[in-house]
Amino acid sequence: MMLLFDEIVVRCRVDRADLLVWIERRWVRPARENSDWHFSEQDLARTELICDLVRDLDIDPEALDVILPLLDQVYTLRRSLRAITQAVGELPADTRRQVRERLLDPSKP
Amino acid sequence: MDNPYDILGVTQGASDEEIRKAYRALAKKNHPDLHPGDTGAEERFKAISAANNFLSDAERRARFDRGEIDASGAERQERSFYRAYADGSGGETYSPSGADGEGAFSAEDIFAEVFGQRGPGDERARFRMRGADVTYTLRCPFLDAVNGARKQIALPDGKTLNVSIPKGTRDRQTLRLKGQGMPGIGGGPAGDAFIEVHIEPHALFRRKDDNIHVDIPVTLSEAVLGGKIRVPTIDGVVDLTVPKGSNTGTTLRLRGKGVPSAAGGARGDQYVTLKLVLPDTPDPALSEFLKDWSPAAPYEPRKGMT
Repeated sequence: MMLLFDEIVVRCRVDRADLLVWIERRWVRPARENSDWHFSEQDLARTELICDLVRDLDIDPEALDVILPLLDQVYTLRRSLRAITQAVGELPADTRRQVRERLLDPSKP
Repeated sequence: MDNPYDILGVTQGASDEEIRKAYRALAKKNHPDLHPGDTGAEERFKAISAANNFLSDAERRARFDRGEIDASGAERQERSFYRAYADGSGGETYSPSGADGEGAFSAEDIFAEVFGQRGPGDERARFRMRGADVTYTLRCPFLDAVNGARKQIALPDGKTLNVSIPKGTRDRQTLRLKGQGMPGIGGGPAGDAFIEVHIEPHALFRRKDDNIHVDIPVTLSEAVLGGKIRVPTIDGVVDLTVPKGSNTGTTLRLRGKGVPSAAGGARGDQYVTLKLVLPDTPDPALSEFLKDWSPAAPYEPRKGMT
């Protein structure tokens, strides 16, 4: 499902000028097609998150240049951690036990 | 829904401002997108939002306070939170890719760091990347480029970059500031900043290679009788002897008054091209003289043109 710029404005009750600035600053990155913006569901959810941060949580929009990249790193880390966990989960039971012991060994950082 | 006052942790007499503050503090602690690993965050955040929505409606709040309605029936906001996408497959859409001037930071980088490791402290094992290069342009006055100067560039992020323009810098020449680009990743070296110098034209001086060219007006008597005149050079005023019988177009050379060589080699020259200028107002004595004057050797300045 793709949403157009005007649909996002209505759904998120966001100011048009604000949304344009957010796109310009690459906080949200809809696809540019036929001189309109096409928002994926993920772009919609991200726009709602930005609305929450700025409107409800009263966070200075300037801080979003810090917050969003950090958040993106957190999600990247989480996805990689999950992939590692899955990979470890597919190892033989004996190897898994070794990994587990090594991770829980308090003498090793 | 439970009692909205209890959810927000405020008393029934709380002001709108107190409710707003309580909501904001709780929302920061429970927003599911900010706490992707906290499975209960979404339910708590929805309850907090609903309580806030409920109490933000003055009429509904008053009816609840009078016991006319209970807290149920508050609108339930259907919404997919961002973490559902960012934490799932396809989440890499917004991963730091390096494309936006930020450091690249992908799951592959993390795997490389985790599994490339051969032992603690092994430098080779860690993921390192040199920072990206950046390019700026700098407008520079003519004389600053010729004689060398120190300049500052204001960067978009508010920092300033000190640039030393070497003497003899040419238009569109690119200067490299090592290590002044984007910072490196994982202890990698920073990138370089490249400064393209755009030289502004000068009102008098023109540059050709390492020589300076300048047009200098002279009076009729200076041209005919010769004499000393004062002319500007790129490093101050100097005396120049105009030979007897000079003309418009006569070019004189001031040796070593050209552009200093950045490499420390020989300096260029300055070429002064004379331009004969008659008085601003016609001079009666000159007119009288010319009426009776016929050149000893007649000359045809337009020979061959007509």
